[in-house]
Amino acid sequence: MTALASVRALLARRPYAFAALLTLTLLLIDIAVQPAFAAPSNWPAVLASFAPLACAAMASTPAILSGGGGIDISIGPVLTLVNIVIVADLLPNGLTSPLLVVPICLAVGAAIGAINGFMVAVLRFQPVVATLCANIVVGGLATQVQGGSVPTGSTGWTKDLAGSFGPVPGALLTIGAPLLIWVLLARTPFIKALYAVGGDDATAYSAGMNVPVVRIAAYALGGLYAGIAGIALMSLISEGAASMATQYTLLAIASVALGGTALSGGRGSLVGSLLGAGSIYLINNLLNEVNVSTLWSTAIYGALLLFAVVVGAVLTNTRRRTA
Amino acid sequence: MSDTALTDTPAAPETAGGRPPLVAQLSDWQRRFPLLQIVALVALYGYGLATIDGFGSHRVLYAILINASLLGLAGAGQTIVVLVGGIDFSIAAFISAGDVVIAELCGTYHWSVPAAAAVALAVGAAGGLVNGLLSFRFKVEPLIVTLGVSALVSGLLLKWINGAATGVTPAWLGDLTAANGTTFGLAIPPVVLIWALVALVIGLVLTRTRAGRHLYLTGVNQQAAKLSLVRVGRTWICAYVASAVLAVCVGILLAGYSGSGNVTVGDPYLFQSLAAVIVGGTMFGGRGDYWRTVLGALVLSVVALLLSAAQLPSAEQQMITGGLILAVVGLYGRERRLRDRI
Amino acid sequence: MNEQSQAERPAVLEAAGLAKAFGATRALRSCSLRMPAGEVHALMGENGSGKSTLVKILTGVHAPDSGTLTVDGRPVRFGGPAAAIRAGVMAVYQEVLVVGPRSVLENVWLGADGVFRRRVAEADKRSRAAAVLAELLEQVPDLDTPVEQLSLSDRQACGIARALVRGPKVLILDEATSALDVATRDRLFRAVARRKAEGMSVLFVSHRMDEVDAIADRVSVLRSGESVVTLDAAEATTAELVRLMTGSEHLAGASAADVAGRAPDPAAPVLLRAAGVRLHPGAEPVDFELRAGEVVGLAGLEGHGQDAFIKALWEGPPGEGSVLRTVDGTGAPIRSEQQAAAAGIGYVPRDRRAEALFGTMSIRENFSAATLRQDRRSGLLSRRAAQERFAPYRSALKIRMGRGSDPVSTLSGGNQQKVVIARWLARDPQVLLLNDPTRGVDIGAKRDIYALLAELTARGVAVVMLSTEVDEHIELMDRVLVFREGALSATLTRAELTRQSLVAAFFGRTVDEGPVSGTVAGPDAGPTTPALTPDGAA
Repeated sequence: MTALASVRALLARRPYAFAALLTLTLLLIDIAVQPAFAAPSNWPAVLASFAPLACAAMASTPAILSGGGGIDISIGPVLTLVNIVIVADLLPNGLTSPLLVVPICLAVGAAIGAINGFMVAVLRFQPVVATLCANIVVGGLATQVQGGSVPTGSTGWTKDLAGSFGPVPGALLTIGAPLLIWVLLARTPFIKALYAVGGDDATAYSAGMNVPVVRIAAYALGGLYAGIAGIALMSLISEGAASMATQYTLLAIASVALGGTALSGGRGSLVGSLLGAGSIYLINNLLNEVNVSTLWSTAIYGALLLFAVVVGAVLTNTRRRTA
Repeated sequence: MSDTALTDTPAAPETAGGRPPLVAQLSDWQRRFPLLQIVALVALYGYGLATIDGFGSHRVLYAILINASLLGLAGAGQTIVVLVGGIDFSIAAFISAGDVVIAELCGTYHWSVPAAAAVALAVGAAGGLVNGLLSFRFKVEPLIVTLGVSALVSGLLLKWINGAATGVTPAWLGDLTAANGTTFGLAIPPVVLIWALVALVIGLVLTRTRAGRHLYLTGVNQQAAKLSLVRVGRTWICAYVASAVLAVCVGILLAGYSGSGNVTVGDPYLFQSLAAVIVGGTMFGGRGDYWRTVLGALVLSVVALLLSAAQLPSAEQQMITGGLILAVVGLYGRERRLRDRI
Repeated sequence: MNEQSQAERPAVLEAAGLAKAFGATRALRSCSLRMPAGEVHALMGENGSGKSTLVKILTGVHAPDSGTLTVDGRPVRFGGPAAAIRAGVMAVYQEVLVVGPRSVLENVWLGADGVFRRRVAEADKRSRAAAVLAELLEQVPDLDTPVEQLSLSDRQACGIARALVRGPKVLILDEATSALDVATRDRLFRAVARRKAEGMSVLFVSHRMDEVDAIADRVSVLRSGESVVTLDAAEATTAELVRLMTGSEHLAGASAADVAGRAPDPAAPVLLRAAGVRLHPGAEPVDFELRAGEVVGLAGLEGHGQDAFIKALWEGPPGEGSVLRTVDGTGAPIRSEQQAAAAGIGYVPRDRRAEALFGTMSIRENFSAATLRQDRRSGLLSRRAAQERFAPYRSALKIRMGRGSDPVSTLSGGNQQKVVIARWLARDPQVLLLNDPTRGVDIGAKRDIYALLAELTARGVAVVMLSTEVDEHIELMDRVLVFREGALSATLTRAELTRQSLVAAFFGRTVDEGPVSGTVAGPDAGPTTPALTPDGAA
C-alpha cells in the first residue's frame, strides 16, 4: 500500500512519470530484442522516423493545456498541409533555402492555429467544433494543393534533417525546436499564464488576465509546432501525404493523454506529450522488430493504449473527467 | 458546471446578455426548437431546385435520403453519447466491423444473414461495454478510451481477414439501400423507412421515457443525477453500448450498399457523425435531441449533393462543408461569455 | 477617526444612478454609492437586490446600461476586470477563485504580469506574497504548494492576498468572508484596519450582522436594485437593517413560531437510527435516533463532521457503523442513496449548482427528476402529468416563476431551492435531510421554507437540517447536534438552546466556562476543512 501511495504521490507531482517509465521500459525491451536499435549509427534514422509524431504530440499540447475543453483536432491536416506545401509548391518553384522555407511553414502553421484560437476564444465556438471544421477545411486544402498525383521532392537540408548534420542527428533539431521554444517562453509569464487560464479561466479573467490573448497564443503555438512537424514529416518521406492527417491527429492526442496531460486543461507538460509519443512510437517499433505480423500492430497498439491509460488513471487519482 | 457560486443572479444572463428583445426572443425559440436548421434545410433544397436541373427528381431526392439515412444512423449513437456528456471516436471502427463481419461470415463462410448480424451486434455490444466501463469506472477521458477501442477493433478485424476482405454480401441486403428499392410495394428505398422508424423510436426514447430522461439528467449534471437517484454508471455505459450497436447496424447496411466488406468503409463517419450532431444543434452534456441530428444529417446530405452537382473538386467540397458547419454553429451554439461565469 | 467628516472627504469611488438590465430583468435600477478614502463601507441587501450586479459593474465584469462611475473624481468606463484593477478597484468573491493546480505564489500574483511581459520582478513576488499571507494566516504555507492542497479557508486567503498585494484603492469583499474560518477572518479584519489607516477603502458585502458591526464605518442598503439609504454604522441596528432590506421585522418571521410553538412527541416512533457511525477513522462513533415530527439541527464549525454525518444518513456511513431504517420497521441498514430513498428518506444537497440543479433543463424537468415513474401515461412520460403534479408544490412553496418549460436557471436562488425541495417532497418522504437549505437564499424564500418545515412536522415527517446560521438553530430546532473534530460533541435541547450555549459548544465548551462570543474573537478553530470540500475530500 505504501509503495502504491508513494507512486501515486510521485505521479501527482510529476504526471509524466508514468509515460517516462513506460518509454524507458519499452526502450530497454527494444534494445534487448534488437541490439542494433541502440547503435549510434542507427540514431538519425530512428529519431527522424519519430520526429513527426513527437512534434505532432507537442503541437496538440498547448490547446489542451489552455482549458475550457480546449483541443486541436486540426493538427494532423495542418502538418500534412505544410508537408505538401513544401513538396508541391515551394521546392518545385525553386524556393529551397531553409531561411525561406522554414519561416513560411511556421507562419502557415501559426496562422491556422491563431485562427482556431480566435474562433475558440473570441467567437466562443466549442473547441472540438471549431477545430473539427478546421480539420475538414485544412484537410480539403491539403488535398487540393497536393493535386491528382502524389508530389515528391527533397533538397539538401531536408535530407540532412532526416539524416544528420555532421555528427548531430537532424531530427534532434525538429524535436528540439518545440522544446527550446517552450523553454524560452517559460522565461516570459506566458507559460504560467497558459496554465492559469487552463486551470481556471474565470479566476484568471477576474484577476485581470487577458484570457483570449492567452488562448489564441496557445493555439497559435500549437499550429507553429504542427508546422515543425510538417517539416519533419516532409524530410522523412519526401512526398505529399494528405491521407496521413487523421492518423497523426489521433495518435498525437493519444500521446498527450498518455503523457499525463489532463484533457480538462491546466495540468500536464510538453515533456509528457513527448514521452507519450515516445511510448507509442516504441510500441509500434517493437511490434515490427519482433516480427509480429503487421496486421496485429493496430490491435496491439489499441490494447496497449487502453492498458496504459487505465493503469495511468488507477495510479494517478488526480486525473478527473470534468463533469 | 464546475463553478459553485451560490448567490443567485436573477435571470441567467447566458440567454440574453443585454441583446435586443427580438434577438433574445429568436434565440429563445432556437433553444426550444431547431428553427435555424429547418430554415437552412429548406433554403438549401430550394436553392438546389432553383439552380440545378432535375434536382427535384425522385432519383436525386432518394440519393439525398439514402445518404442522410446512413449518416443519420451513424449520428444516432453519437447523439446519445454526446447527450450523456461523452464523445465516441470508435463509431467508424464499429461501422467497419458491422460491414466486414457480415461480408465475411455471409460471403466467405456462408452463414445466414441473421446469424452473422447477431455476431456483429454482439461485437458492437461488447465493444460499447468496454468503452463505457473503462471511461466511467476509471474516469479516463472518453475520447482516449474510444480511440483505443477503435484501434483495437479495427486491428482485430484486419488480422481476422488478413488484410483484405474477400466476402461478398447477399444481394437482398443491397436492395435495402438501393435508390430504386421498394418497400412493400412502395417506391421508397427500405433504408429510408428503416431510418424513419429508428428516428421515431430513438426520438421517443430520448424525450418521452425514463431511460431517455436519465440520459439527459446524467449529461447535464452527473453529481446531481446521482443524488436524484439516477443510476449514472448504468446510464453512461448503456449510452456507449447503444452507440456501438447502432454503428454496427450502419455497417450492416453499408455492407449491402457496397456489396462487399471493406475495413475502411467506416472512416468517413469518424468526423461526419459528429458533424451531423453538431449541425443539428445537440451540445455536449444534455442539450438537444435526435430530431436535431436527423435535420443535421439532411442538411449535410443536401449540401454534399449541391456541391457534387456543382462539380467542384472534392477538396473544395470539403472546405465549403467545413465552412458551412462553422457558419451554422456560429449562429446558435456558442459558449457562455467568461463574464457570465463569475 | 472623526465619523462626521467621512461623508465630506473626497470620494475615491463614486457611483451615480447605475442601472443594468439582463434581458427583461432589471437587476439594478438606480444605484448610487459614495466611498471616501479610508472607509469600510458595508453593502447589504437581500439576494436579488442587485448587490452582485453592482459589484460586477464596479469590477468591470459588466458595463452599466446607464449611470456614471468615477474613481478619484475621474469618470471611468471599465472594459473588463483588467481595466478596473488598473484603476485600483479589485474584488474578492464569495466563490473561492483560485487555480487549483498552480502554486500559492502564482495564485497570489495571478494577472499581475502581462501575457508576455513581466511587470513584477520574481524576487519581489516571493517576499511580498509571504508578507501579505503572514498577515492573513497563522502559518504561511510553502509558496510552491499547489493551492488545491490547502483548506478552503486558506485558499480564499490566497485570493484575498491576490487583491492585497496589488495595493488597491478600493477592495471589494463580496461575501468573501463566508469561506474563511473564524481566526483567519479576524486576521483579515485587522489587516483591513491597518490598510484603512493608509487610505484603502473597502466595500464590504456580507449577510452577517456581526461582521458588519465589527468593521463597517457606514452601511448602505440595496433593495430591488435601488439604493435605499446609507447609515452610519452606529445607527445600523440589526432590526433596522432587516426592516430596510425587507420592510418587515423578524428574521424568521411568524412561521418560525409555528415550529417553535409545537412540542415534539417523545413517544413518536423512531424513523431512523444511526448506530456507531464513525465519521473519521479514530473519531468517536455517533449514535442518533430520529423520531417522527422532530426537527433536528446539525451545527458546528465548518468541516467538523456535520456535513459528513448528514451524508452518512443518506448514502450510508463512510466507515464503521450503520444507519438503520426503522421507517418501515425492518431495521435494514442503509448503504446507498437508492436504499435511503426506498426507505422514505429525501436529501436536499448543499451545493445547489453542483449537486442539485440541472441548469439547462426546465423547471418541470428539475422537479420531476426523482419521480419520473409517476409521470408515465401509457408507457411514455407525459408533460401534462408532470405539470399537474408540480402545480400544488408550486403554490404551497410559493415558487415565483414563469412557465414550467423555462430553464431552471432563470429562477432566483431561493426559487431554485424550492424546486429542489419540491423534487423530494414529491416522493412523499418520511424523513427529509436538508443540507444547509437556506444558503444563498433570500429572506422571503427562507420564510417559505420555514413555513414548510412547520407543515411537514405537523404531518409527522422528521427533518434533519444542517445549518450554518445560529439563528436558524435557535428559532427552528427541537434539538441541535453539535459536531466537533469529526464527532458529536454536544446535544442541546430546545430548553438549552441559546446563542451563547450553541456558539460555546462549537468551541467545545459549555456556557459556564465563560462567555465566548465566537463570532469575531473565537479561539483557534482547530483544523478546519471547510464546507464546500467536505471532510476527507482534500
